[in-house]
Amino acid sequence: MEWEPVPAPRPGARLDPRVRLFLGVLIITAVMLTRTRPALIGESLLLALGLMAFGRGKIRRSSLHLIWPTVGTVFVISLLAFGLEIAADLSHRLVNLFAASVLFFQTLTPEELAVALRSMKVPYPVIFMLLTALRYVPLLGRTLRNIYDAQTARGIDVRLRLTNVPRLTALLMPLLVQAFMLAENLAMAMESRGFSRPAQSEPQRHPFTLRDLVWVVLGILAFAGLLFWERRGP
Amino acid sequence: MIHLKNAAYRYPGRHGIAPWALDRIDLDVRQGEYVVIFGPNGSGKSTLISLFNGLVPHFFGGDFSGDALVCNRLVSETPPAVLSRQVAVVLQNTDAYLFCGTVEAELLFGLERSPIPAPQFGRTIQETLSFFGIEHLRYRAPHDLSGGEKHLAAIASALCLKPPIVALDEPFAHLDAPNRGRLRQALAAVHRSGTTVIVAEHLVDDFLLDADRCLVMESGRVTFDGTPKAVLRPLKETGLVPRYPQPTEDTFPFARESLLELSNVTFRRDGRPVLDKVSFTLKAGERVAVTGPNGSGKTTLVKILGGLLKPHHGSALWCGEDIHGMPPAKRVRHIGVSFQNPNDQFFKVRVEDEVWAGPKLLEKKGIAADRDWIEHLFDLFGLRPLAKQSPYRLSEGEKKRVAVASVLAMNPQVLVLDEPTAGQDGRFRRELAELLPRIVRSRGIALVVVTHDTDFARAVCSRRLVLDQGRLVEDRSMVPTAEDA
Repeated sequence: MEWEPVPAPRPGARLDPRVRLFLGVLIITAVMLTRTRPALIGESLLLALGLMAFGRGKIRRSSLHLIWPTVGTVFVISLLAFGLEIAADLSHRLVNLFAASVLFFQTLTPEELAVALRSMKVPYPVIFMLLTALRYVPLLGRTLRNIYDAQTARGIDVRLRLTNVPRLTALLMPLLVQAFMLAENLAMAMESRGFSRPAQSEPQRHPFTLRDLVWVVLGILAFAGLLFWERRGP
Repeated sequence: MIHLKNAAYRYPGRHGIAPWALDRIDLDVRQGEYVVIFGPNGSGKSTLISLFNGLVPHFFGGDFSGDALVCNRLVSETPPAVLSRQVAVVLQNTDAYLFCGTVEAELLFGLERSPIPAPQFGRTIQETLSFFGIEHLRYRAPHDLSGGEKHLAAIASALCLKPPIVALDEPFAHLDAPNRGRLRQALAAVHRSGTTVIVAEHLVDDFLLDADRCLVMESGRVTFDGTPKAVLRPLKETGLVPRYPQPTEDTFPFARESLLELSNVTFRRDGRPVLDKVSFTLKAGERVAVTGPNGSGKTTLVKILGGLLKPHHGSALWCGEDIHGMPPAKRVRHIGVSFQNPNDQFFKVRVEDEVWAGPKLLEKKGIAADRDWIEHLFDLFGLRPLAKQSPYRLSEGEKKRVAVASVLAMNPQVLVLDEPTAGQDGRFRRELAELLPRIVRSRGIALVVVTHDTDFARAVCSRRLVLDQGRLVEDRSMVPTAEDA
């Protein structure tokens, strides 16, 4: 099968990765600090707009499989413990938090995250561990899917149901073993490719521009404005 | 470049249990040579490759004796971090080897650790990618690439530093014919540039024509060292090039009922058809090979046959009943599927429990197991001596035997095997080629083998389906005619 070439990211077409990292962290912090329902609704609208404008491609359906049960569980537990209003607000905040995280990872690739962290002098082994985790989570997800298929093809029902709990070893055991095998292979690959050699030179990155600075200032002002508006009250 | 004298190595914790992985090896590899190392599973090929860049003994530990000199450095005293500047080793598992976010980042990873100044990185990356003809992959994520593209990206990331030696562990094992051709050309070009190329492989393919020298390993020893022309004889004698049984015509001592019927099966992923209007019928006793290039929809077809996927259009029926709609316990009595990676199946600590796992679950649902057949399977697949062992500790061939036996234990009427010979040595391939037609004849089952291995397909199957870009482009008999003879 022939693949279409992927165009090179144009330098300067997007904000500096450090700015995008900063804005992402700011948005997630804002969602966590929000107290009032109007602000939560406003955030939802802005996040939806952001996802439509900056999101790269559609959100995977498998992510939604994880999000909605989590939100549902939080809603039910907080409904029983605190009542409907608090349950609705907590679930709403959680949806916003998921949306903010999705926006963060849709606008910042793992490589750009590494660039941003390296320029902030975060030690390389820490960055590498983070990147490897990001890289291998989908890989292990694919392995889990293969194991699921292999066991189902043998007639072993491993769907996530209460009655199937005793059979989940058929999923978890091969996954655990293959995760260890993958970890060993990764360690071998890292040694083979000279991971323990310190980097002698780093590639040149594009400089921090005035536009990046404007976005940082706008982000800080919006964040401070939101907190001030919320705490001042109606 | 490489000088081994009496080099011996044993993995840690194997003292007194297992023989030496490398057993007193003497070897000299000269600059610019293209060396191919053959040998069965467990013969020490990968261990020898790991010795060249110091993973053995520094990464694995264990006992090492003798002399090993690589690019004038003593391996026992030089860590992989230093040796990897001279020797680029490309591992078999490219998913682990390519650990960065894009192909460009893979190349940058090595460049940043090299004495090459940063301003030259862009040009070096461009030159390396164009050398392998993969400039279009530069900004692609490695996990989105096909098997062949992953190997090319891995070799490019190893070679952008221009090491004098490159060693590859089974690079052709999981590739289809077009990708094998691309990789062969790439390695020949690397060799022409003066780099020493070392390839450890099971497959004997056209790439052998490019090599200068071949080694055959057995039980940790080099048993042959000679030219590519001369290697074919020892490879045949030791069964590493399998002598397959003559293809046979189907004989049917049973009723030839139609078991599976696929009619206009279409399956889409992300709006793109992975299978496009595929139709065929499978009768009892038929032995069918499904072939086609990587990404042609073979594995999707396997999943539809196994009831794991529901076609978006068309129907996949077992004796008139929708396969996907059947309860799993009923489905596995009719159709057994064994996937490519046997490790996906294993969850018991002993081989015998693994084989019995499926039948015991069926027994809980009131479906009696055929105990005589299951006991016979242990003999048929040579599993008696392995019965008490952990399936994870077996060789690759033994694992495959356990995986196929555990599917057959449920007594299915159709057996579907996805790439049963990938990564397997010639001895296992021959054993399986003898075994499968025998089971088909004695049990009256139908067999579907999805494979890139055309010789194996010819030896085992009597009919071939060819998929290309999701379409069934060929459906014909493989039984040799009098004209062929």
